[in-house]
Amino acid sequence: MEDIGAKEDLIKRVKRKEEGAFDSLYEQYKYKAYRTAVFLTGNEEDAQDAIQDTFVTVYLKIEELKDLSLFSSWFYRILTRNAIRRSKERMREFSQDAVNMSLALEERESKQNPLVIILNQEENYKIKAAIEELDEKHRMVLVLYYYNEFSTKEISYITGCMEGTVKSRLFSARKKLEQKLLIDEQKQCERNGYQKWKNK
Amino acid sequence: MEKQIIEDRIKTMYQEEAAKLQLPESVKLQIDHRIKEVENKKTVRLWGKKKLVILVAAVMLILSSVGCYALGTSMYSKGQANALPDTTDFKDVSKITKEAGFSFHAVEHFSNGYSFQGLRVSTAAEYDEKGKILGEEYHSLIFDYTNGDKKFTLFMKPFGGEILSPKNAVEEKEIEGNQVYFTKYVNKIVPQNYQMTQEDMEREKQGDFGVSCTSDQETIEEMTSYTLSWQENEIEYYITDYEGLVSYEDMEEVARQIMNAGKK
Repeated sequence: MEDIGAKEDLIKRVKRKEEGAFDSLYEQYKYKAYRTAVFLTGNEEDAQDAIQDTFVTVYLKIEELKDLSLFSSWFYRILTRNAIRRSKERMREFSQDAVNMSLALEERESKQNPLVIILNQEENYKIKAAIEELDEKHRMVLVLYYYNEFSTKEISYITGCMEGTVKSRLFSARKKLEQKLLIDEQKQCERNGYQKWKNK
Repeated sequence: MEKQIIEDRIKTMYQEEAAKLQLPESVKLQIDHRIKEVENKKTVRLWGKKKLVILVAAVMLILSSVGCYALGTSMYSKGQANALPDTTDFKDVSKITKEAGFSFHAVEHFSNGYSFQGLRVSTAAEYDEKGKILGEEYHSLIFDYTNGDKKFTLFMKPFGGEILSPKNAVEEKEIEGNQVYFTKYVNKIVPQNYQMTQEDMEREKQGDFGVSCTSDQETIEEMTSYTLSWQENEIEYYITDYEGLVSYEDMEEVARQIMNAGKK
């Protein structure tokens, strides 16, 4: 409760354009928002643009927000729209930037168990690639639900869809992923089986 | 594949990938820069919201520099008034000014030849540098006086706070026991799509320069005005000449007669 109170107090201060309030808001939201934007746009450059657009809009339009408890949903509604617009403006490519950066960072983590790292990387890569194949609407509900941990009701407000539609998209996105991952794993088993048979 | 397993795999992927993403510091700088740009544009537009006579906009602009001395924390004043006077009949002045919350003795004719031409009531407020309104909105009065080709505006507003010497004061002296300030102000009038330059911003910091726009302005012009100001009985007074035709002596004499108008 105290946390909610503190958050609403900060929003009030931002609305009043109090010194430093907007900076505090930025600090609180920047990482989660940026990472969400990367997952939605598929690249860091568009995500940075979307973040800029979002915080500028928030600063200029915050007076229009009447119910302070909805700030987070309101913020992510702006962010998702900006992210989608930015990624539409650019021919969407597979997120090579993110992959390159991930690899560079992963090199730094090499003091961990190398086998665990490789397995995790492979696992994440498979899921990421499968999500990349989903359309924008399905990707969006996945990110908001599994990364941002919004409820389906909140996602309904953010995306402007009926809650039932959100639930159906979640279900269908999960199914598609499941199928995709199953097919990949079957192929992997087949390759392993062939290898075993070949080595006999 | 169980629902729980696929959900765990998605969550784990997002969490691990997210941890690798860092936001560059430059993004915040860009945001601040973009907000500042929009705010600057807003400041220019403030004065051109209505197709108002430049005069009214200019009065408020002058206050944007003197406002700093009047309120201490105020960065600029913004106000709206009708383009045409609310009255040109001096008989209505007393009623209108009382309704606007002012109590003072207005002068119809000054001994040095200036006569009342019209009165407008403006609604205004003070704003800080971020555009946040400071305090309540208030009424202010704009009187026009002429003497042949020479004219000045008497602007009156409720006293805002501690009076300090304005940044753009060129002279200060005492008249009838009141400290008065002569100030010079350059108003740059620009088309609506004008964007403030670095030089404009630098000049604004000096306190004797401001930018305003009107909807019908196509070229850039600069207008220099001279103001004599003081505070008395909870009212701030600003006598402004926009054309450089009214002498300091005339302005002083007008101020003296206003100060003495209520005294028997």
